[in-house]
This record gives sequence, C-alpha cells and structure tokens, in this order.
Amino acid sequence: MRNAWVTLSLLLAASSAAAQPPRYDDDPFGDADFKDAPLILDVSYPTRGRGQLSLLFTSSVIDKYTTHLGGTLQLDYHFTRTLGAALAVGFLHGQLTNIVTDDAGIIGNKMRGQNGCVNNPANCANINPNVPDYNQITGVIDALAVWSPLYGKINVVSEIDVNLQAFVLGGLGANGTRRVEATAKPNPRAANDYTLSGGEFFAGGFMSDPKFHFTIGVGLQVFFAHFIALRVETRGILFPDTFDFGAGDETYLSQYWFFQAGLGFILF
Amino acid sequence: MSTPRLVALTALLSLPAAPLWAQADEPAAPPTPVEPAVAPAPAAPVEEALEQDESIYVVQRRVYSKKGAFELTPLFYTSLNNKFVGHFGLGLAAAYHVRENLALELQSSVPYVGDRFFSALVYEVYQQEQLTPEAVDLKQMDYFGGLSVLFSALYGKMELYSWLIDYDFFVTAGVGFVSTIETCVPERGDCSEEVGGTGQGIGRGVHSPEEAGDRFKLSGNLGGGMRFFFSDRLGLRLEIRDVVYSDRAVESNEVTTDIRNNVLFFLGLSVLL
Repeated sequence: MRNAWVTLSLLLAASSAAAQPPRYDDDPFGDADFKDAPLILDVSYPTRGRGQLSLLFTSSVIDKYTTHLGGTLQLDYHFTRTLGAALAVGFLHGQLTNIVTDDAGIIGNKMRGQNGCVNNPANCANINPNVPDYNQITGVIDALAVWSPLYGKINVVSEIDVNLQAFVLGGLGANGTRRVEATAKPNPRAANDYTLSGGEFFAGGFMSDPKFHFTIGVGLQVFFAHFIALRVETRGILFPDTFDFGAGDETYLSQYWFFQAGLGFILF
Repeated sequence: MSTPRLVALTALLSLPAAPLWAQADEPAAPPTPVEPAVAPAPAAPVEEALEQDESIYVVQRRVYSKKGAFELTPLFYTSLNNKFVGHFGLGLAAAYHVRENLALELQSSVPYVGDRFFSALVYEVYQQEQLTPEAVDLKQMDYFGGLSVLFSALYGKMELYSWLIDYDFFVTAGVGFVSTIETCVPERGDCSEEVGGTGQGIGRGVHSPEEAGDRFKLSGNLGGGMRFFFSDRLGLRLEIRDVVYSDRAVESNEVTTDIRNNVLFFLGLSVLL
C-alpha cells in the first residue's frame, strides 16, 4: 500500500510538471518585432501627403559686419515620397558686429584714427562703414522646393522608434533690408562718441527696401512622436546687390548664412 | 489494493503524462523571424528568451562591424568660419576601433597640399577702409595633426530610393599640435619690401614666424560627424571639427594674442581594413 501511494505521488508530481511544458514565443515582447516586416522598412512618418508646420529659431553664422537673430515659420507639404514644397516667413533682428563697433573697429577708426573725426572735425560728416554686405535683413518670404531623399531610423534607446529624414531645399523669395547709420556726437573726444540709428527692434519694418533672393539649404528632421519633429538646418540667402568697389557701382552676390533649429508639427 | 489494480492505476495515470513528457523531449520548431539577427533561441523557455533578448533594437543587422578593425580615411577639408582666414586641403586619418562604439584616431593634414587664404572681409576693410585686422588674426594654420577619441553611440539605417545605407553618429575629442605662418613685415626676416606682390598677405606675403614658439603650438580638437557605410568595407564620412589653440603675433613691438577656433568641415572615404 505504501508503495502504491509513493508511486501515485510521483506520478502526480510528474503530471504537474508536465502540465507546464516550455512554451516558445516568437514575439516575447508583443511588439511584432519578429513577425512583421523589418522596422527599418516601416516608414512611421510617411512623407507623401504630409503637411507640417515648423517654428524655427534662426541665427546667422559666418558673420561679417552684421549678426542676425530671429524666427521662421514654415509650412511644408510633400506631394511625393521625396518631393515637396514649402512656404516660409521669417523675421530677423540685426546687430552690427564688433568688427564695426569696437574702438579699434571700422567706426572706431573713423572716429579716432589719424585723420578721423576726433582729430579732423571735417570728417565727422560721414563715419559710416563703406563695405559691402553691410545691409541687415529684416523680413523674409520664401517659396521653396524640398527634396527629402533620405529616410531612416536610429538606435537611441532600444525599441524607441526614432525616425530621421534629411532634406535639401532651394527656392526664391524676397527679403526686406535696413541700414544702420552712425552719427558722430558734437565735439567728439573718443572713439565711441557716436550714436547708431536704424538698428532698433523692428526698425525698418518687415519688407522695406526689398531684395529678391535665392535660398538654398540642407537639414535634418528627427521624429520623436507622431505629431512632432526636431528640425535643424543651415540656410543661405543670396541676392544680387550693388556696391562701389572703386570703379562705380558693381553688382555682386550678397550672402547671408543662417543656422535654424526648432520643432516641426505634423498637421496631417 | 491488489497488485493488478495498482498496475492498472499506474498505467492509467501515466497515459496523460506520457505525451507531455514526449513533448518536452522533442525540440520545438524554431520560429521564422523576419530579422533572425536577434531571434530567440529555438529551444529556450520564455524566461531564457527574455534574458537573452533584453535589448531589441529598432535597427538590426548592422552591415558592418568595426570592433577590432582599422579604419583608414583620406579626407578633404575646408574651413567653415572664414572670418579672416580660410583653409582647404587634404588629410589622412587612421583609427583603431577598440570597441564597436569607441576608437582611437590619429589625424593629420597633408603638408603642402591645399591652400590658405584671407577672407573677403580682410580685402574689403583693407581696400575700402584702409584697415587691417590684428596681426594674430591674419596668421594662417598650415598644418594640424592630433590624437583623438571617437565615440559613436548612435547608429541607424537610412533609405535612399530603396537602397538601405548604414550610418552612425560620432563625437570626437583630442589633442594635437598645429603650425602657423604669419604675414610679412617688410624688410624684416626673410621678407623684403617687394615680397608678395598684390593679393596674398595684403601685398606683403606670408612667412614662418621667426620665433618658433609662434609657429608650433598645442591644440585641442572637438567635433562630431556621421559615417555612411555603403558596404562592409567602404563608407563616406562627414565631420565638423573645431581645432582650437592659443596664438600670438609680434608686429611693430606690439604683441597680439587670440584664441583661434578653426572650424573645419571634413569629407572622407572610410576604408575598414
């Protein structure tokens, strides 16, 4: 009898163990990583038909005589997987660089130089810099073509599906310009005895003294969620301008380069 | 209980257990994952699979592996922040990948290949305003080299018209040294009144500083970039690196100093050996 109970107990234990055999799960995390198409081929943010509104902080780079800060609002729509169009409106506030305003800078030398305003009051009538690319950009309106041939993903944290898209853009537009004027104070004694006018915030308005320009740029978008993307890019505004290099007014290509970063909101 | 009954009961109880044991002994059919690079072990229980596959990456199946490999990269470089001077030329980088995401790299520009120049601003203020920047601002870097650490924690894939390209982002930091040349002072050192002609050096040319200390100096470099690999051996490398050093110049008994930041853009062809 004892043998029978021992045998029965062993059999029950064996049955209990055998009731939970190893299970094989080809999707242990329930995220379809192994079942469906590779995630790299899953375009989480399809380009075609996508409408996006971007708000970008804008800062000039490689500054010569003027530095700019401002913002840009851009509406993008993609007609195909790689091609789209965009409308951009921007506003910039310019400031003269220290190459112009330092005591040893252009205006400083016109003030205290050997033949400057301080030593020779007859030269106080014009202490403005006589250099090209001196205009400051105010408002910008652009119509752009956007080409986005590169779409990809990146491992940031495992299983977080971060998507990237690189793009280049080019187009035509118009921008307002303004010019900061330097005026010597009465009876100047020092290099900084002058005042600047025309450089105040919103001085020159949005589109005064407009120039037609070409715009080129290259950038990258990082999609973090279904409605938002981080966007960084560099953009150049190039327009023909005139300047007297010594033989009368000559046309030259004025160039301003900007770094832009901000958020893109996917509208549809 | 009689012996025959015991045997019968034992046999009866064993019946359901038998197929279960048999199931445990036979290996299960392995799954057929789309991405077999991180497929679960065919005969492992769930817990074991979870342990083995703690990280499932968005981007799988790296085309290339860098760990333990040497990478040789011929480079073209050009400066980006040409406020007063600009540079372009060729360079060479040799890296050893200690780990998949960590490498040590020796980098050097190729001497006498490339050019240095003054920016448009220098000519504009000279011709229009008869001004020149401080002497130290006109010094030009004619060689740079250094030892750097490259750390590439992020990698991914991009699609270019159905062509998958592997890439990674990297940051780099290191130390090195640079050599600079300065504008001539007429009739001083190896500079004559006629040296240079028009153009280069605002009509005065450039030469090596007489004091060697003004020519060679330690530098630091900091940068980042991307590598695109088209195959398991060849790739394209884009990088922006700031070569920074302290510089000084002596002109007419006036010493000027500056912290120079040369922001260079590199375009290279990476070869994994």
